[in-house]
Amino acid sequence: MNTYGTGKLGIAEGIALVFSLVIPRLFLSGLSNVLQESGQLLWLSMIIYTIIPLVVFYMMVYVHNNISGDIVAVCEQLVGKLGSWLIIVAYIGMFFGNSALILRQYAEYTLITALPEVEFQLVIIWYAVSIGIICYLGIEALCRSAYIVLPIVLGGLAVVFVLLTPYYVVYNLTPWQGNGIMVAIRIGINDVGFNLGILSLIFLSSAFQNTKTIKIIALYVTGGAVMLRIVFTLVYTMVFGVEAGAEKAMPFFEMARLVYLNEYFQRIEALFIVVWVISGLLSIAGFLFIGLYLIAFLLKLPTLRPIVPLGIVIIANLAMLPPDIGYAVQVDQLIVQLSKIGIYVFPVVLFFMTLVKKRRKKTCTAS
Amino acid sequence: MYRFLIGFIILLSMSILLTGCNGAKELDKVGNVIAIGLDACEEEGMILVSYQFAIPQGEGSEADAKKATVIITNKAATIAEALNLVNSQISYTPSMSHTKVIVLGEELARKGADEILAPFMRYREYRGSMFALVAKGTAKELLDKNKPSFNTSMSKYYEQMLGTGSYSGYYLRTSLHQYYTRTKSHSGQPYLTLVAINPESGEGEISTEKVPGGKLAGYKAGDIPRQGGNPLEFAGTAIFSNNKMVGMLSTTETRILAMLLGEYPHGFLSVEDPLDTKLFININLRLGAKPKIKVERVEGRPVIHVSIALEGDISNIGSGINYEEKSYTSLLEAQITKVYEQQIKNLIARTQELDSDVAGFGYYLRPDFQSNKEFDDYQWNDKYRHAEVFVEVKSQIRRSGLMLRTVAAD
Repeated sequence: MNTYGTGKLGIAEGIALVFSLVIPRLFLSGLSNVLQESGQLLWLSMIIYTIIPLVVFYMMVYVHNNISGDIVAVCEQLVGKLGSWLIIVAYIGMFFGNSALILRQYAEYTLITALPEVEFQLVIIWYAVSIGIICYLGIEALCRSAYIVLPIVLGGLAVVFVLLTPYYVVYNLTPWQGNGIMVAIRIGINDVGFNLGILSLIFLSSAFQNTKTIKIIALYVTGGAVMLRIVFTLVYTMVFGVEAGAEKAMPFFEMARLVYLNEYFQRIEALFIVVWVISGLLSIAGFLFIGLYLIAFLLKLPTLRPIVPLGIVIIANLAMLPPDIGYAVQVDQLIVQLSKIGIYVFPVVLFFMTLVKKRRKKTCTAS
Repeated sequence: MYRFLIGFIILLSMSILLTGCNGAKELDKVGNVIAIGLDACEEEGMILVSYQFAIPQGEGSEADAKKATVIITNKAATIAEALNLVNSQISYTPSMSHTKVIVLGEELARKGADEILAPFMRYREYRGSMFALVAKGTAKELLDKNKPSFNTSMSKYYEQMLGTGSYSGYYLRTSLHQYYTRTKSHSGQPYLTLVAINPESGEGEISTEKVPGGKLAGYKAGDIPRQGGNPLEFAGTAIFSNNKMVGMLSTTETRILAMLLGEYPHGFLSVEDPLDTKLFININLRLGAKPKIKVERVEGRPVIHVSIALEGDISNIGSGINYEEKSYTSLLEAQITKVYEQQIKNLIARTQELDSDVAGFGYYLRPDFQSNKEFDDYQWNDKYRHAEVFVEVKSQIRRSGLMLRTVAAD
């Protein structure tokens, strides 16, 4: 028995973990980018790019129910050893890429918002060390930390939404079709990579109690994430409008710093910097952990702790590669786009291979 | 033991690294800018930037209040350069984290405000919630002559002044965020609070004449006939069109604008007594509901329907006529309706002449379009001038103050 698939995690921990994987880009520039593309109809894009991964997740659950073993064993049975390596290495790349780019953006935005005089490398190192500690402590520590932080993050968001009420301009949500329905659908189909984290439930299935647990988690997370994203987008659009909203590098930070009730209640963003830094840390650690987890499975390692420092060094270096924040945001978009392969290609291939295998088995049994 | 040691090292490093001291500055080494004044300069490509610094030691008593701020004005090519120059003139590190207001001089605002105000949205020390004002005259003069009479803290003065504008509706609280989002939206034009130094001669200048049935004329900041108090006054609104300031609204016009924006908590209105025109009646008036505004396209031409519901309490009847009685009350209500319908029509006509949809009617037209492109192609800001306007005001007297009826003296 390895040390990273404990089978003890329940629904709440799973929800918190996957939430921390799919939500952090709300705090980054991703929202501004998709808002510029979809306009007021961004909510439709969000529904689409949340539902598609859920469907894909159920396809993977079907695969898991019909083919025994962990993800590596499943892939080996369906597409052979080489195919299995190809798929798992691609997923490792996606999770590491997500981890590195989110790390870079959080480090950059920490510099801009809170610590302008600190060396960039020092911030990266500080984040990397914190992430390393979280990953070293394991999936349970990660999930349970996320579980503690989740209500604070959600509560913080709700408080900001309420306090911004005086700035709401409902007509900013019109024209209802934004930049066009077809554009919104295209963005929804294109940006499924934002929800790659949902598939982590398949990869980490041995850490959870059973299949029913991960199904429930997936439903709660997709439902919750899409609701949160839609509410966030609506509030953000009402406050800034599409045009000004698309300019902002940090939508949530901008919302928090706009809060002004009176001379006694203002400048509350410092509180939210802490909240989003913690949720960012958990997210980066989550992506990294899943990447390491897949490496450990692929190489059949008894524990993944020794490779945590290696993972940290890789993502820290990857994070420092883009020369500036603009380029980092571009690469982040590219990673989100590449993550599409992890949603559209591999699960679909595995699903059809499972169907084929099942049919063959039936034919053999009949004959 | 091994785990204890690791735990101790982690806790120790966290206590050192997480205390937030990195980049910290001692309070007495920071020069907090309360207000920034921006003026046009005769020299091409230069602006005058005035920084009003707070001196915390100076705050606390009225006598010290006058010494509580220092104003330094630099001529510079950019605001950032002015900040660099200020650094050579004071022993503190300038900080804009507590800046309350940005004041634009009239000349600069008329030349174009976007290129001056937009950069403020980018740097982290400035925030969208900062108040933005336009000074009649120069911003420098305004900052120099501003001597609050009641407040001992200049920053509190600015916040309180802008927070209490809703008492009369004679000036609005305008922020950088609101200005910026308006400029980007293509759905309306921005506006900023108008401020000015009053000569305190007791002589004033009326900007908006009384409408028939009304008793109140409108003033702009600096023109209110008064003596005493702080020379600085907040009154009226500076309105913009395509990035440039194109006009000023008076106090009474600003009140109407507040109504159209749905930001009119209450204010005292004086109307002619319908039965004795020499006398007047005061009503404490408020919006009965959010204004109902509908904008539609009829054969390509915009048509604006404005419906305002007002309700109020009688606060003064000079004539001794029993306006509390139903038949008289309706006379009074009709008088209020007449006054406000006229004022609203006048304001909209004036802003149409100036191509400045400060009431944001364009926002109400947005649902009429399928997509952003369609709306942008319609060019609302150019069409506003040609819009047909229908105004309907409903007034209702709800209460008669502390008196139930008025009994004639003889």
